[in-house]
Amino acid sequence: MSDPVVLSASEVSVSFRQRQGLFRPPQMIPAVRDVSFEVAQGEVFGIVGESGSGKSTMAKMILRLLRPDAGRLTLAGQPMATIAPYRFARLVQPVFQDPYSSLNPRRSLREIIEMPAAVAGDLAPAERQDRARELFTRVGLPMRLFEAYPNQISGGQRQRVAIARALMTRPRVLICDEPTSALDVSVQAQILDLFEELRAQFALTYVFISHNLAVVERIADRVGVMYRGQMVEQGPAQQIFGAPSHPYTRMLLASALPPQPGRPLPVINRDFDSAPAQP
Amino acid sequence: MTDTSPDRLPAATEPTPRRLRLRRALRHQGVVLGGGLIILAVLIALFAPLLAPADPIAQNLTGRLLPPVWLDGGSTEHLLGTDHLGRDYLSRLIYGTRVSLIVGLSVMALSGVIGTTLGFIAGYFGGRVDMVVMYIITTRLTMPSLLIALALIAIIGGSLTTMILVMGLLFWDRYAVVVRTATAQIVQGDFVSAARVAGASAPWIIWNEIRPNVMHHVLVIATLEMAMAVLSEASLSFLGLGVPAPTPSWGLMIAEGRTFLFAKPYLVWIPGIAIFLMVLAINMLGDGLRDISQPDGRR
Repeated sequence: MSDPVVLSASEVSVSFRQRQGLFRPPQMIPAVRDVSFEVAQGEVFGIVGESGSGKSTMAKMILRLLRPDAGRLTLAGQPMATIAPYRFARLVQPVFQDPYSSLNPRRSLREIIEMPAAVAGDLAPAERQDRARELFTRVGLPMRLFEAYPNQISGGQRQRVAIARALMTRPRVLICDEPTSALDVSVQAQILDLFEELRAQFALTYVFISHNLAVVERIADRVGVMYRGQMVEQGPAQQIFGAPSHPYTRMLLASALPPQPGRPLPVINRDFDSAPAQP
Repeated sequence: MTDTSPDRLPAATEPTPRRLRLRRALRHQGVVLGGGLIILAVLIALFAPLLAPADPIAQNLTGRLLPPVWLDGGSTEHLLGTDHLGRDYLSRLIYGTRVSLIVGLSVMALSGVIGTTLGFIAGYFGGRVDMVVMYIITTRLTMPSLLIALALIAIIGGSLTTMILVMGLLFWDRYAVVVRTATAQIVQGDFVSAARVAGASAPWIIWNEIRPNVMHHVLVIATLEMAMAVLSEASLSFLGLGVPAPTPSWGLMIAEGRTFLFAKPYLVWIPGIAIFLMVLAINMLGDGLRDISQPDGRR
């Protein structure tokens, strides 16, 4: 791994305050504890873990939507908190899980994709629209939908719009928080293909968060496993999926149904009437 | 012959949300009827000098309390008769539309700006800011607004401007409550997070991402508040605390006519019907707007 580190976290922690009542002191609930990792330029770093393990909280901190209580996050060699907003937007962009809440229902797809440039105001409107148009076709959407609204397109198409918007600032890193989890399986595969295509075309680095192990195994170069706010194991994807060392990782892998080529589908006895009673 | 490539197909198969709403609006009875009546009132107010047969404040003491044309002794010269000072009642009614609409619209706008701004701030920032704004809203809600308006105008002295200012500064609570709730919910949306990551400021996000999603709520409240303002203007003028005397206002007309309620009831019910129709029209429009702005998917 000779590529330079583009994103790094060192001993990042954050906890949420939970009020217990009017007079009792609020309780601090740790969401992420001492998480450290490094992501090299051009790599896909997958983060897996069950619900509530702190994956999305980690994503929020990388996107500066949440300030860590402790630890350091650096981006392109610079402490994350010191980066000016527009420069930050040109380094990192998000793709969120829910394709329904990630697009403003009252804006046309063109306006949604142009948004990051409209905020920065660094492009003339015509230029902005050209770039949006180019990205629109690049993510595989037909131009006739350019002026359509989110309610007129499908979940998979919405996710493509969200990806086009994320690419508007030509960022170096995409933070993908469960980007395929809300989609059905065939559409998931298409979106994953798109991520792989774009990665090569735009020299992108991904932080790819998912609870779906098969998805992460397919796309990630390196994987970090999160459990109860801690990163219990990280390493190359083959190692994590082939020879997991942490018991939680082993449990996680055992709980999934990995695709095993050659193995037939489990036989299900559909003949309920003649089937012998279960012991 | 015809180009059938995908890019040449008609724009989307489904209409845009805006066109969908417009189409629904034009199919809704309440919107068409209420909106039509309000447009009519606006036209009457704008062209009052052309429509009114006489000067609304010119007195004619020899022609006092003439009955309207359909009663015995009525003449076509004064279609709705004259009041106790011999002023042409139809002209006063027509000019009264102006006061009613000016007060209704100005109060709606002033309170709308105050209320939505507070609602946006509370809903967007949440936490302590929300607590402070909620405290202001609660304080405002505990005050009987019409009584306060009454007291304030009695102290300051009644005029069109004071009335608009006092009501505008009092009637913003509903905007604030509704906009705050809607904003707090919309802020959770990932599209707001996307704008934040893009470096957008709070005002930018509120204006460009949140405002389009709450405007339909605001519109519905605006109509309710306008009806409320029209009624309050009539009430205040009736009590002698609204527009000062010679200005034709429907509330003032009822107040002046009530002395003759038994002998000349039309002096009261004619402006009464005008107020009734105005408020009815605004409410019908408001209800209609609420119906058609229901979540997408309802046609």
